[in-house]
Amino acid sequence: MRPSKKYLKHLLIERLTEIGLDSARIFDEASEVIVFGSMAVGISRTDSDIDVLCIGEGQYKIKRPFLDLIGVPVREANSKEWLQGELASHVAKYGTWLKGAPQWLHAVRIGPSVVAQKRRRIRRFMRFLPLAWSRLEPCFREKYSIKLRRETQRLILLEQRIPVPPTKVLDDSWTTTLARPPYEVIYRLRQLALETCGAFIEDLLDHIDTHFSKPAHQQSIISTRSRQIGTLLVNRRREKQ
Amino acid sequence: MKAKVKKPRRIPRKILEAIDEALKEIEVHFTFDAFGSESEETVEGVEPEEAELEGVEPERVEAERVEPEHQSEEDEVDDYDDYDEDPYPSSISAEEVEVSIDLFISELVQKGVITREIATSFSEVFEHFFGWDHQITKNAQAFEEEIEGYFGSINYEEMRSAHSSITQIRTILDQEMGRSATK
Repeated sequence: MRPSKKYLKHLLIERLTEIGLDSARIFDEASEVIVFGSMAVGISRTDSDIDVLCIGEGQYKIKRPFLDLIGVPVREANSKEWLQGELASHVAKYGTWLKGAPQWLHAVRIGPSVVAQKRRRIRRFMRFLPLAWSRLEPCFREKYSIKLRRETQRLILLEQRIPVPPTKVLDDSWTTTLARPPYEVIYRLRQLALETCGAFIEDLLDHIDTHFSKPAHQQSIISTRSRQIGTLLVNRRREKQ
Repeated sequence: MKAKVKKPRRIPRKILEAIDEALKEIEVHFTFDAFGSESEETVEGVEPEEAELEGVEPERVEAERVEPEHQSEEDEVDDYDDYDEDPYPSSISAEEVEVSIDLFISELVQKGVITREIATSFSEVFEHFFGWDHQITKNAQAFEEEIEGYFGSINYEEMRSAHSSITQIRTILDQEMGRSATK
């Protein structure tokens, strides 16, 4: 259930005050104050960050424990670049307005630049990680396997012009379905991996498989089926070419 | 009564050397003078993505160049690669810098200089050895924030600031190394 505006406003003011920020000033200077992310949709834990977008005068970014605050000037929020971005589409779909009214929702459209940017980001990780993989501590290998899985899920959604949901939704969608997403993610990661780094991609996929604390038999089902289909998709595409 | 003067921490030479060595993992990504006038000039006739591939072994270049053929039909319609431009000079990759920070920590863990429990982030490494109020720790915190970006995106100004922070970290570390050598 989505939390009420009153609850979110109270929580935000509390967290701003805790870190010594003037909440009244932040609300005064913004024409729109929007809570987004897991907190806005009611799937957060009590210690989760509260993600806030303030559209107003200044451009700023404040990251503190339990609070991520981003300020975007009105002019920028009306620009094509911003309206076609990942954040704008996410906020438009999942945001809760604490102040002001959403004036720009009609203009939001996921643009090709954000898809290209996401693809470029994954490609760069996939290009550099094989060179660093063996020297990274296990916890970091875990971190990047989670990151790459999530970023690839986001890429697939953005390509379909679907706003990216909060991260917990991405994680849950992976574990609750044996349908398209796991196969597609594995297919994409294999596609983006270089021919020369077979050991890296296999280890990466091993890590992706073990992210979730599910019964072992379920994990192996996901692992075997999605890998087989992912590999099959890659091979078929190659044969066609 | 005399006010107590806080003595600067003495950091063993061995630790300074290990940090010095590990820091090179990060610095190497900023060594192309990317924010200077020279590298901002694009190589004539070479697109930024191509310029970035210069110096990479032929197999890797080949793999990069065939990649667009694997695009979906939808991609081709939208021609996403028309938007494939970086907000900062082509020789800097925020993703590589992020990985290199983790390599920095990994190297120190593997050398036994720190444990993962002590330092879970770049700035915590400096905080652990130099103290929370040392300028090098403040620079490390700034570097972390600048390189983090938002929604996987880092703008040019943030990358420029990150470059400045890492330069200052190097300057202070060199001073500490020099001081340690004269003791």
